[in-house]
Amino acid sequence: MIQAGVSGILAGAAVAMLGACMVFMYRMVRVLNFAQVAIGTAGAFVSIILGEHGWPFVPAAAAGVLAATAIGVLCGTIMSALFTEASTEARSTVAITFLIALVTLGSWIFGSDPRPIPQLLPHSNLQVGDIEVSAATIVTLVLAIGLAGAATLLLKRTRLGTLLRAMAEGSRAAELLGVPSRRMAIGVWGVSAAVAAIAVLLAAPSRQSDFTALSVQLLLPAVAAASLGLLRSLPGAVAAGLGLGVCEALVTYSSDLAPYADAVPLLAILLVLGWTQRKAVWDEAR
Amino acid sequence: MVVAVGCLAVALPLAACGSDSSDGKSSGGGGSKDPISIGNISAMSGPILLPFGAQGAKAYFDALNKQGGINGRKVNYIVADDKSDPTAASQQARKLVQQNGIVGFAGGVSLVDCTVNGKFYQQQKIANVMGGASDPTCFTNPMISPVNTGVLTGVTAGLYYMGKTLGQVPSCTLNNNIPTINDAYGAAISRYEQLAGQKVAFQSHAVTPNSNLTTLMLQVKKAGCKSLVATFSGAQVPALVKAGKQVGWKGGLLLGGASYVASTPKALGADGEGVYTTSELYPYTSRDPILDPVKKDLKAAGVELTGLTEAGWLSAKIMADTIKGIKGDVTKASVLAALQKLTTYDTAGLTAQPYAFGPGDAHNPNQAIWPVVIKNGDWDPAATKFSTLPSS
Repeated sequence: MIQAGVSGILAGAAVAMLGACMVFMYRMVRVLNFAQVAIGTAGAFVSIILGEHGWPFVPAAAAGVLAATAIGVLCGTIMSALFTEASTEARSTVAITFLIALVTLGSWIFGSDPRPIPQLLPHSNLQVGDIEVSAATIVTLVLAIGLAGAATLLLKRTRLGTLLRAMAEGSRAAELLGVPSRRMAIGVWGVSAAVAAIAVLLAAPSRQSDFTALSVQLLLPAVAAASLGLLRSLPGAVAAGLGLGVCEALVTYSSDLAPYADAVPLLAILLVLGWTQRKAVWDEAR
Repeated sequence: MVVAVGCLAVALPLAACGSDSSDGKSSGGGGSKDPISIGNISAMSGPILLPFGAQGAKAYFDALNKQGGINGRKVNYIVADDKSDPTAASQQARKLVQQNGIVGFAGGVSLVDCTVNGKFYQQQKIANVMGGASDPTCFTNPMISPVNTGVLTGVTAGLYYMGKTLGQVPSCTLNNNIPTINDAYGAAISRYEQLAGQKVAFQSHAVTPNSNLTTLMLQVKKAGCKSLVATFSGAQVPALVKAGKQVGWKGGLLLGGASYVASTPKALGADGEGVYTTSELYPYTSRDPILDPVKKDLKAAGVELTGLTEAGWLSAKIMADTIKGIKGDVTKASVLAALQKLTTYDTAGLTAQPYAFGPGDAHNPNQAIWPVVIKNGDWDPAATKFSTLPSS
């Protein structure tokens, strides 16, 4: 049972990284970026294709992360140029358009055949009592927690963080005070895209290995993690991502509940919506 | 009002034409030298592409037409796209039967055709020699007799090969979560247990594209499974193999027929050595001359040889040979009657047993698989003959 829960940490940590990216983008550039996973998947597939052409893993992965960054920067540029003053809902709708465009382009370019996805880390396991923990699980877990910690510190303790928060409070006002809001917003898109590519590369070996599936499958859990972090808390999103991964694994382990494992993220989103909207419902009822 | 009356005036004769053609005489049959129309419903576009059966069948009919067709009549092979969409499948079936006047179906590979159109085919009394059927309702319809084994018999045959023939017991199985056929999976597994006298140690029909395969492989390991039959999508296979290695499971793995494609060994890389899959017809990667007639037609049509193009080719040949033997009008009724008399058709080694359509209410003549294994990065036949399920 415990081993089953541990087996969910790897998937959960990748979801945690993606969820944290979504929270970061929501706070900084006012968009629920539904294209986050697709951008990461595009970068991961660039790595995979380069690997198929004989590139060693590290340069191929670096090139994939760069490619994802470039796509993120492009999306950020479009958003900043055309939708700066648009509402969060409108900007999030634009992100859905990016998602559709990327999935369509990606499945056209990369096809639907399974791909040889390189294993970032060897199949080595660490034995803790009766429990085996894979190297990939440990690395992904450290990365997810480290990422949330670093982003929180960046926002709270550095000048760049102060500028980012100023931009988040009011892009136009910050720009008038000399904060390069537009460039910083594009930078946020680029950095989030790079992190998403790393998360997808880590999760991909244990996922369906075609572009469309990979782009879409991690999206719902990532949105659920971001929602459980109330779209505000980076550590909250990371904890939620890890919790979702473990929950899904435990549900899969139970023969009776296994067919419903895919519903776990959806249930989490419904719970968050129910909780956050309870006041409105009660007020209306009164 | 004038427009409505005008439309009615145009529609009535068209409807009358439709009913004329629905007996299969107007364009598909008759004693003339008109072309014989044969239909196919396949997923030619949409989320899951399955055009291969149609391509194989078309290659056969093209070659046949070059030689003069069937008794001097060309074959007009009409392929309709169901897009894996039930509405499209329903519309296409009605169009083919009632407007195009086809005399039968051949070479179809569809995920929705049998469920959506099964009753329509029975009402219309039109025969379907399917190329690749997966839905269990394709095997329980008096009008449909597929040439392939199908996923359920494939599970039984896969377990039988791994458990009984190779002796890797206990066997286990992981299958896609398809609520409409989960009970049927249970029946297929019970059939194996009865035939082999062995118990399956672990079974799960809960696999979805999003499943945590590491957790499932932990259960496989915990149950002490020495072999595993996994029938789900090819794109999930690399993750399954990696998950097996991750949890340290060392049993024999046999995949479903959908994985018997060139991309699977490439996607698995070094991890794939020794992984088995299922060929439902004679293995297309074999170099045996048995496949030469298939290869010749496919090459001429520029179609790649795969398990499904081979199945499409065979179903087209069965349909053409059946029509060849009809004396008199070629209609959907005469084609069905001829197929219902077809209780043994020699497939020249492409299937383990002779193909049969026959008069029965259910047809699953192919009761065998040919195991194929990844060796040096490519598929290689793992046996010298089909692994056939005993009749009882």
